[in-house]
Amino acid sequence: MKTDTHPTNLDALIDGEGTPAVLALIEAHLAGCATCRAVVATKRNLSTAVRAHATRYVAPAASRERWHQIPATAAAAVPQSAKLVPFRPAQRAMGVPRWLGIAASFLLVAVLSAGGMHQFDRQAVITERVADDIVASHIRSLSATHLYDVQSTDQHTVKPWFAGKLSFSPPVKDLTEQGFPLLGGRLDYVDRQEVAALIYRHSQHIINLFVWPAPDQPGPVLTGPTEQGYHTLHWSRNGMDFWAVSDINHADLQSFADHFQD
Amino acid sequence: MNDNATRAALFERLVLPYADSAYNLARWLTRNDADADDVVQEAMLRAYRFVDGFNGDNPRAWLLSIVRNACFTWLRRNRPRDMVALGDGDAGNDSLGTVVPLWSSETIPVDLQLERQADRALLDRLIEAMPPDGREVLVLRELEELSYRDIAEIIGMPIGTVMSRLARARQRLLTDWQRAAMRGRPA
Repeated sequence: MKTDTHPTNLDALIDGEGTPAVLALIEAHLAGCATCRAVVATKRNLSTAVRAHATRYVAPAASRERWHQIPATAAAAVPQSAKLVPFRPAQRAMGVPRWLGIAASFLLVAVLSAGGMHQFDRQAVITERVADDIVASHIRSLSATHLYDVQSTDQHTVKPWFAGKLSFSPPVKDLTEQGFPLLGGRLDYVDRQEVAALIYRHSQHIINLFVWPAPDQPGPVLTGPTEQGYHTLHWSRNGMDFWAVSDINHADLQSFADHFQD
Repeated sequence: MNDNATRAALFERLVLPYADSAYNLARWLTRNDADADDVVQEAMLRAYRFVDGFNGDNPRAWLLSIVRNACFTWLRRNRPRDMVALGDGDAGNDSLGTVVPLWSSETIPVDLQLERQADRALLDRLIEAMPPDGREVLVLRELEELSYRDIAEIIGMPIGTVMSRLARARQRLLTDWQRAAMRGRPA
């Protein structure tokens, strides 16, 4: 039998994975191919040996104890975490008028008149949760040594870096001429999913732009909550959600968002 | 009802029971105790933060996906030179490659009993020497005994990639083992 007719999925048989039809095909081949039978036998032995003899590491008792304390420590450390509470009245009073660009107010009227107040509130809670995440990530990125996973001012370096690491391809733009040079990219987590973070600079300030796939509902740039002095902006375009966060003033952040969308 | 209490209960039920799996994966990927401890600590904090959003059917796989991502972030930052890839390809003829069933000879046991401690240590060393993308599928499959589907979820790749990576990882481990055996193993 010629070499190039050997099945390439022998491991599926070893692991008992694959549909019965696929496994039957492999078995049929094995019946007539001593080479593949030997490969399967050898790999099976290897699998057994690894399972029996490779080290299964066990968490040290001290670490395990520390992890058990996480709920208690976390509760003590962030007693007033905004993450799970709806907008606080003070924030809502400040936040709502700025939320409502003209386009957004039309949207709100439509939602309200459709009896969608509950939906809007739910959205507000989600929005705050996301804003909370990105502000936390932003602060973490500034305080830790982990601002970038890939450091490059070249969009053609940063964009491919994300390929293979994420299931989507975030748009990456160089906005140096507009006053917002690209510094690099990073993987991060927002709202329980892996997202792309793009890092830009504006004079001495850092902007984190978080990007992840979302249902395609293009909308205007909305001002998200301001938390701990960090402004947030949010927009959706081409099936992606964008959240920008920075301590630059609101107008500059808006300008960044405008340039990014150009 | 208290959110923190709910979250703590979920964390205790869905996350903490799998601390050993988390540590095992992190230890294999970082290759030392202190770094594994750090990475799992970070992963545990993340798991605690997001545990109320978990709605799958395999909390261990979910936790391992967080650990795995924390490990690769750590590796990229601290061991960029380790980040060579085993390669995906479609396994092609590669999965046959150069495997010669040497172990059918009498001098090298077919059943790989590895009765000598030195042999077990060698096995560990050879797995550690493998590129991280191969090492992780091998550990998830052989030591954590997860299905292709769970592994695919954890590493964020299609099932076909899991299979071809596993095939390559095993192939590589066999080749390395055979090489080591031929180099100086007493009969």
